[in-house]
Amino acid sequence: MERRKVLKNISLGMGASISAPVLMSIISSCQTATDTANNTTAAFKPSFLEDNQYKIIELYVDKLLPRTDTPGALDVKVPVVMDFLLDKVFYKKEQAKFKAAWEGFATTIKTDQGVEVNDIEAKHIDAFFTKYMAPKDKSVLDKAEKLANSDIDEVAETEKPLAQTYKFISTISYMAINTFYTSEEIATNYLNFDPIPGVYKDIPLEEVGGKLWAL
Amino acid sequence: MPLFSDKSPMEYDAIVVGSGISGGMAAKELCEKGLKTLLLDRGRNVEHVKDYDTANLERWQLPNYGKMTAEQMKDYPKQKRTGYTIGNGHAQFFVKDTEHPYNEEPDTRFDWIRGYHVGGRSLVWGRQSYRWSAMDFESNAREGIAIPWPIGYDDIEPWYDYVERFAGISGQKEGLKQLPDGQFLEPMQLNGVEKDLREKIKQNYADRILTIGRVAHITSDADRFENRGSCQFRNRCMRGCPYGAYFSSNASTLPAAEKTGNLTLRPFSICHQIIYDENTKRATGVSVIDQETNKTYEFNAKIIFVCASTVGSTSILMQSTSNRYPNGMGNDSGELGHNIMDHHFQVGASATVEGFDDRYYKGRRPNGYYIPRFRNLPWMAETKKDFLRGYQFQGGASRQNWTRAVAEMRYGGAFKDEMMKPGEWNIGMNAFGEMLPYHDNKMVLDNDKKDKCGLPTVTFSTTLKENEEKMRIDMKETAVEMFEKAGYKNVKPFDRGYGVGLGIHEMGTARMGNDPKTSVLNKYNQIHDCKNVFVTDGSCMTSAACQNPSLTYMALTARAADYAVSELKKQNL
Repeated sequence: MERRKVLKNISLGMGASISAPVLMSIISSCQTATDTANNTTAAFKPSFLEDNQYKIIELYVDKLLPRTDTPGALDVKVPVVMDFLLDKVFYKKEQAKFKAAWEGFATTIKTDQGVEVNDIEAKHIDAFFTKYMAPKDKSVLDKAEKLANSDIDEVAETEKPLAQTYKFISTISYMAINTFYTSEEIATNYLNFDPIPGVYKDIPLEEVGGKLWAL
Repeated sequence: MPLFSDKSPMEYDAIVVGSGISGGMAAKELCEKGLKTLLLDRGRNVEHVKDYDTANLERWQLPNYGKMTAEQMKDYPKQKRTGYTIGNGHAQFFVKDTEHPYNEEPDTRFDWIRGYHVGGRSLVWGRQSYRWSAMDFESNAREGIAIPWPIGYDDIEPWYDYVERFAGISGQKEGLKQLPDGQFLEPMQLNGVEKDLREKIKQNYADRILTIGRVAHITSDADRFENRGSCQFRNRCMRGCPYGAYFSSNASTLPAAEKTGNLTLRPFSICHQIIYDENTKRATGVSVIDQETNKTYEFNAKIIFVCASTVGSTSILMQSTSNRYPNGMGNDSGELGHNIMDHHFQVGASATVEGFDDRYYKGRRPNGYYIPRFRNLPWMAETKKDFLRGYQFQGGASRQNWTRAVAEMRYGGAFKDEMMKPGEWNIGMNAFGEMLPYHDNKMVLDNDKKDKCGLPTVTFSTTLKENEEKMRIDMKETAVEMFEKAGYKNVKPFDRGYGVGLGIHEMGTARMGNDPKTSVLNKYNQIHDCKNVFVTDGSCMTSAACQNPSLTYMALTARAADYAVSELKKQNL
């Protein structure tokens, strides 16, 4: 964020009683965040995901949130954050569930396309998305939602691979979409970003160019 | 802050135990009335602004991408029950359960959510600030529940005026009997959809209204508040406010106390006992364990204000045994530790609202709308239900963000850009219900399970009873009905479950009353037979009402401090 803008917002809001150390931390934090993002290199070594799984996640999120004239998931390093979330934020039980969902995804790909999960390429992800994502039929979407949120032990044996597939889709989508839109790059450059609004009021949507607030 | 040092005296005019909402107010009042006051807190010092480490950080500037790791969460198995207290950016203001354990009787649950540091929960509170009404002080007597309150609305009204003017409460005057107006700063604004619901409720109901929440935020007249500024609508209150815009001990009462030159603050001081003198029938001081050195010290004073939070203060009284008080100080009645109340909640409804696609909002309002109690109003016979007391709703409307994308299972570039626009309007409301005082909802000390200082831990036994369960059904139905009558779509009820304490409004364990045989404190918050000990936090409450309670603690504390000093001057203490 622009240093001058921060100072202006602060002086409008507070003036005297904000202490110098806090003021400095606001300004310096504008810089450190950028540094952190830039330090993540292409030679990233995942901690939770296998190298091959990580590559598949890259293919997957690139299809989910591709680069257009705005950045895509890979531009803001979504897979790096996802690996961190899986490794450090997920509880053991959630990690086990993710692994089971991954197996369901692998089984589905194999059944549908006859390809081993380790050999998945972009075209297989394309076919997978075409078959499972964004169903036009509302009843399919409802069923997907139900299966994604189901207790797997209560799902009929024949439905289990499909249920795990939908669990995989929703888990990945949740992590990827959440990470993408809350990233510094997207939040500060493509959404309305205003760390110190100074007011709460009802406004016409056009006043902010029809764009979503970042925070 | 003037911190205790080797050169500080061991004797004071007053000792205040605890520096949260109540203790901070006690310290301010006693200091301003000229008493040399020692303020004890069991935790670390938190200096206003300087120690709000995360106050200005964006998500991507916080460690771990703004998330708590599974490893970190292991320290908070109980504190995390709320779903919001243990978050990256403010977890530092809550205790680690691994360091501060407590116990629950089998098949019962009590959520004891708290922070041990100077300022206590005043740093992280919800800031909703409502007066009680005459009805709330009268209902125990009228219905024959528990014991009558020893005070009425008239006793506390001037003290509401007084603390509201100091704290700064923003709100809209509505002229309601069940929710008296106060000394308000400018109200925060409702957004378009909330204004719509306000109008619809006015059309559909004679017994209720929707108003903007009344919150302890400075929204106007900022010049009147020393060293505090106006709310910037960042909604990062729980990290500590660098503007001092919301009321906390750290931003408000402690600086006021400091200004008098009469305050000495001693952090890391775990008060575990009040020392009683049988000859004078008075307390002489307190015994304190220094959390850093584990050494025990005794401090003396003419009056003692116990403001260590409901469970904290009650534990101290329970540990203060003597020949005169074998069952804990002030416990002639046997009621100490009993009658725990809270506000039961997590019941309500959500809906989507059409017709406002061209409207949005600016800012992150740290507040929502409020629907005051409309059940069992004594002056409206038609509001009578098959349960006692009532509940209020708190809620808000906002436009969906990209989280809607997950459910839709969509993908691709066009979709990605579409999610950068706001989605449909959602609205929700959540009820907060009054819980009755039950003798068997209680806390006891467990002397077999000690904490790291060798002090007994607390064991809780609390459950919701029939009256609350009936009320919860009504809460859900009325929430749905209000949205349906307003013409909103996809109306969905919810009951997310509740354990006593989850409202973080625990109260009632050292209740006030006129009769020493059935209560611990008298009408001035004095221990009945030990007049120089005052307990003014949530433990003093004789019933719970359904309003958020902190403003009432502040008012009772200021009132008790005024009385204490006048009695001291008359040499009655």
